[in-house]
Amino acid sequence: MNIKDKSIIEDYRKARDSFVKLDGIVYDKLCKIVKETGIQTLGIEHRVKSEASLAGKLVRNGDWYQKLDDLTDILGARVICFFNDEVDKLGKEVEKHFTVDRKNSSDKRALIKADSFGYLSLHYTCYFNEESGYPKEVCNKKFEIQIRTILQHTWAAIEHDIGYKSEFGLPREYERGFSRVAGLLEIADDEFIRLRDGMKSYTDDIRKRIKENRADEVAVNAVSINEFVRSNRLMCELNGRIAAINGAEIKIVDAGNYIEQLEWFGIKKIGELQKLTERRGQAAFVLAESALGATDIDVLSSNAGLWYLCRAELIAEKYSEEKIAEFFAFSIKEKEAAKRRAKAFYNKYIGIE
Amino acid sequence: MKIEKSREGGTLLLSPEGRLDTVTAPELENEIGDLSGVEELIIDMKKIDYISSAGLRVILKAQKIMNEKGCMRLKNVGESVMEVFEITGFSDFLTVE
Repeated sequence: MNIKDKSIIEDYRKARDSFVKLDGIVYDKLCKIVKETGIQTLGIEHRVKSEASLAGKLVRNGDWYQKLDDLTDILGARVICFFNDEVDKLGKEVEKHFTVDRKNSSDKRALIKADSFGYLSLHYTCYFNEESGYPKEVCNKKFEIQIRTILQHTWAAIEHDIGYKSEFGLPREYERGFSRVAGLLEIADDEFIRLRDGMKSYTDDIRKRIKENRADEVAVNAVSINEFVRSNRLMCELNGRIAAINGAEIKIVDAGNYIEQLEWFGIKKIGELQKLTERRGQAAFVLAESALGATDIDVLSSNAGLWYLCRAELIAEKYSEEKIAEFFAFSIKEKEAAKRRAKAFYNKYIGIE
Repeated sequence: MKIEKSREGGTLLLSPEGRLDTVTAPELENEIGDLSGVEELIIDMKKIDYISSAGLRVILKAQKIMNEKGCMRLKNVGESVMEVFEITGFSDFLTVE
């Protein structure tokens, strides 16, 4: 190692504690940004480069660095998010909350040539200026922030692991293989956005149709049943009346388990569920009043209305004990227990005229 | 409230004993406060003979935490506790064995 590199290492040793302090500040700030934007992330990685790693870098590329300040990645942080458009949203927030050194920052995604391979992320070189209010020792120290999707992260991790950037280049077949995977990941990232937006649009549409009572032909599925419980006027009224028995709080939970239970009754469309609610709503309420009225339970799940509706239907249609046991088995996994409860239910509500 | 705990890899087994009510529910809540590294939570309800609204809220909280991290199962649920799960509409989103 030459005198210049030794001097950089010496300066690094003196500045390391300040970088550790800066690391904490940057990490906290990124956590706050992620929380405020509500963007879901896989995680935020951060580290201060070790002395060994710095020494290695100087040995490999020493000519590029004359002093410690020339190295902008002594401190590095990386936010890994799910969707490519969130990389841009987080990037805008980074630009708002940090001072960006434009000369050393780049959107590496845009730098890839059309015929090159690679799948890279958004890189910023940042610092806090002295007006930022942070301790003087952390100001004007450059650090890197990378923002990437999970798939971009996958690409980078494998690229790093395989180390294909050999100075001799790769045989054409491997180079082509990497290009194909890069293209695949880019398409996959775009497809995930399309799926996310499509699902949101479908859910919004179902919600609107259920609120406006135009969902008769919509199939009962994981989206529509939950929207029905949350937004259908009759179902909300039923849950509200049941909750009022004891002044209970309603906790919203997933209603997905009712898909197969409703199908058991032959209910496959929202219009049929709506009719069941109209037909059995009052009977369901009477059952709830009888079960809950004698208790002091003041918390219910949003599935309570469905639970009582199904029981009201079993009673009204006078299902046999065996059929009731079959129905109970959806929620009572132990077969004998389902049979016992079916027998008690049948005797209480149906068997004795 | 006595709560036995055993951990094997990512599976945590909690075995509370007695009544799960306003007084004791915070103790179970405390146990589910730190589920770092837990991918499967099993609550053995064999020795729980009563559950109140406070107990239901803790069970729901545990389920919601575990929906994000993996799964939760309730085992050996007695008939009286099961009946409370049912009449409150809790039974169909909890995994009861």
